[in-house]
Amino acid sequence: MSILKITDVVSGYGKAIVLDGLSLEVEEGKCHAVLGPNGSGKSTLLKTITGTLKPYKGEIYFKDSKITGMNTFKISRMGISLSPEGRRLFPDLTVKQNLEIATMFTQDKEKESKLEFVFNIFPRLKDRINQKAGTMSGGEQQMVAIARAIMIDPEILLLDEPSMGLAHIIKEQIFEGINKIKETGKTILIVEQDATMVMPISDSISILEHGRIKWSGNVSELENNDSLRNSYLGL
Amino acid sequence: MFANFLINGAINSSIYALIALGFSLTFGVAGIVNLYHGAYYMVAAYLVYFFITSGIPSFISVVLSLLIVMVLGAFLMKYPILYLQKKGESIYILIFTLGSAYFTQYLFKLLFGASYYSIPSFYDKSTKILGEVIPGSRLFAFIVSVITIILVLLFINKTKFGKQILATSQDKYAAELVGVNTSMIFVVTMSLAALLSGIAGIVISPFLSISPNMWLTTLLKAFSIVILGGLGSIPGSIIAAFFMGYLESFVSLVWTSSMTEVVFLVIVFIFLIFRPTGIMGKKTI
Ligand SMILES: Nc1ncnc2c1ncn2[C@@H]1O[C@H](COP(=O)(O)OP(=O)(O)O)[C@@H](O)[C@H]1O
Ligand SMILES: [Mg+2]
Repeated sequence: MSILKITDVVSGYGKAIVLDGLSLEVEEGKCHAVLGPNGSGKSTLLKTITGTLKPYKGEIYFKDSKITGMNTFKISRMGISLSPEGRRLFPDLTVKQNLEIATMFTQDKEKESKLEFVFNIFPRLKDRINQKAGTMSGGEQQMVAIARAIMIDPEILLLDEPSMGLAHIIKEQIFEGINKIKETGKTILIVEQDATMVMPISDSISILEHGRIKWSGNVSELENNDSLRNSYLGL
Repeated sequence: MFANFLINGAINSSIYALIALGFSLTFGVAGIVNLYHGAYYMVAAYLVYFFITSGIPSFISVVLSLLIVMVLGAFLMKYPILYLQKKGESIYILIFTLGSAYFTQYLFKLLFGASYYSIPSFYDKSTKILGEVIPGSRLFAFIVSVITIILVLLFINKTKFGKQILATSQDKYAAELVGVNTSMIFVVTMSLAALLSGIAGIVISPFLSISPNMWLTTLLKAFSIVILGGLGSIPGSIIAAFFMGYLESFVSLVWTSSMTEVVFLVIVFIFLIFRPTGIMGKKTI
C-alpha cells in the first residue's frame, strides 16, 4: 500500500517551473530513492511535499488525506518529517536541545526512549550531547539533522542528500545509520546524487531529470540494466 | 551626588531594558523592525489615564489597558504585518508601522489635545537608599521592570512556548519542519512586546508626562539600545540598556539632560561604523 502518492505535480519558484508533471508513489515500510543530478529538482520535490512550496497543479496524498497546499507545520505534525538540504539545525542550541525541540508535539513520556534510539543509530552524538550544534563538523550536523527528523516519530522520513559535501568515510557512517532506521520498518524517501551509497539501502528507485521521472523500478532492475546506469548515473 | 547617579542610572536602565527587550524580541524572532513599538508605550499610558480619570480603580485600569495593547499588538502582526511580510518587502513594514504610529499620535491629539497629563502614583512612599530620597513611583517602576524582565527571560527559556519562540528566532524554516506554527509565534511575540512596552509606559506615567509625541523618543531610545546591543540579542539589549541608562545619568550630571538623546545617537553612529554587530557581536536571542 502506498503511504505517499504524488500525482502530476507542477511546482517551482514563481515563474520558474521546476517539477513538470511529476508523479511518484512510496510504499509503506519501504525505502524509495530518487536519484538525479544537481539541479534536477530533488530538493524542490521535497519542499513541495512538505508544504514549503505550493504546487501549481497536481495533488499530494498522505495515507488517505490530501495534503496539497497545507502548511509545513501541519504536515510535520501529521507525521512527515524532513532532514532538509543544508541541515538547518538550530545553531545556538545544543544537540540535546535540537533533538528535544522536535518532540514538542509528540507524547512526552516517549522522549527518553527516542533519545536512546537515535544514540543507537548515531553513537557519536551521545558524546556531543551538550555541544552547540553550530560548532559541529558537517558530518555530525548531518547526523543531528537526521536524528531530529526521527525525534518527531514520523510515519515517513524524507532525506535530502545526506551525503552532500561529506568525506567517504563519513558518508558510510551516515548511510549505516539510515540503514538501521530502515530496519525498524520506517518508510523512507531519500533523494541523492550518490547512487553507490543509496542503492544498497533502497528497495526501489526513480531517476529524476529536468523535473520529470525518467525511469522507476526495483534496485535489481537498475543493477542489471547497463545502458540505464550509463546514461543516467554514470556508473 | 554619586549615590544619586548610581540610583537614577539603575532606574532609567531598567525601564530602557524593559522597552528594548520587546523591540529586540520582535526583531530577533520575526525579523521585523517595528516602528510602532514606542506607540504601545503611549497607548497604554493614555488608556490608563483615561480609565483612572473615568473613575475605574487603578488596578483594573492597568489590567484593561495592558489587555488592549496586547490585542492591538496581536492584531497588527496577524493581519497587516504578516500580509506585508508575505509580499516580501521589509520597507513596507517600516512604512506601515511608522505611519500607524503617527496616526495614533494624531488620534490621541484629537481626543486628548496637546496637553501633558500624568497619573497618580501607584506607590507613593519614598525610600531612603544610600542617603538619597527615592520617590515611591520611581522605585515602583524599577521593581516592576526588573521583575517583568526576569519573568520574560524565564518564560522564554523554560516554557514550551518560549522554546518555540527560541527555535523560530534561530531558524524559522527548521522550526516549521519540527511542527512549530511560526505565524502564531510571531503573533504571540508581538503581543508580548506590546505588553512590555505598555508596562513601561504605565510605570513611568506618574513621574514623566503623558503626551502625544512620547512614542518617538521612546522608539529612538529602544532603537539605539538594540543597535548597540546587537540587533535581536536579548542579553545584548539588556547590557546596552544599562550602558545607555547610566550614560544618560552621567550626561545629565555633568552636562544637561536635554543632550542625552544627542549623545545616544552619537554613540550609535560610532557603533554602526566600528562595530555594526553590536556588543554581543552576533544575531541570537
Ligand atoms: N529558491 C529558488 N528560487 C529560484 N529557483 C530555484 C530556487 N531553488 C532552486 N531553484 C532552481 O530549481 C531547480 C532545481 O533545484 P533543486 O530542486 O534545488 O535541485 P536539486 O536539489 O536536485 O539539486 C534549479 O534549476 C535551481 O536553480
Ligand atoms: Mg538539492
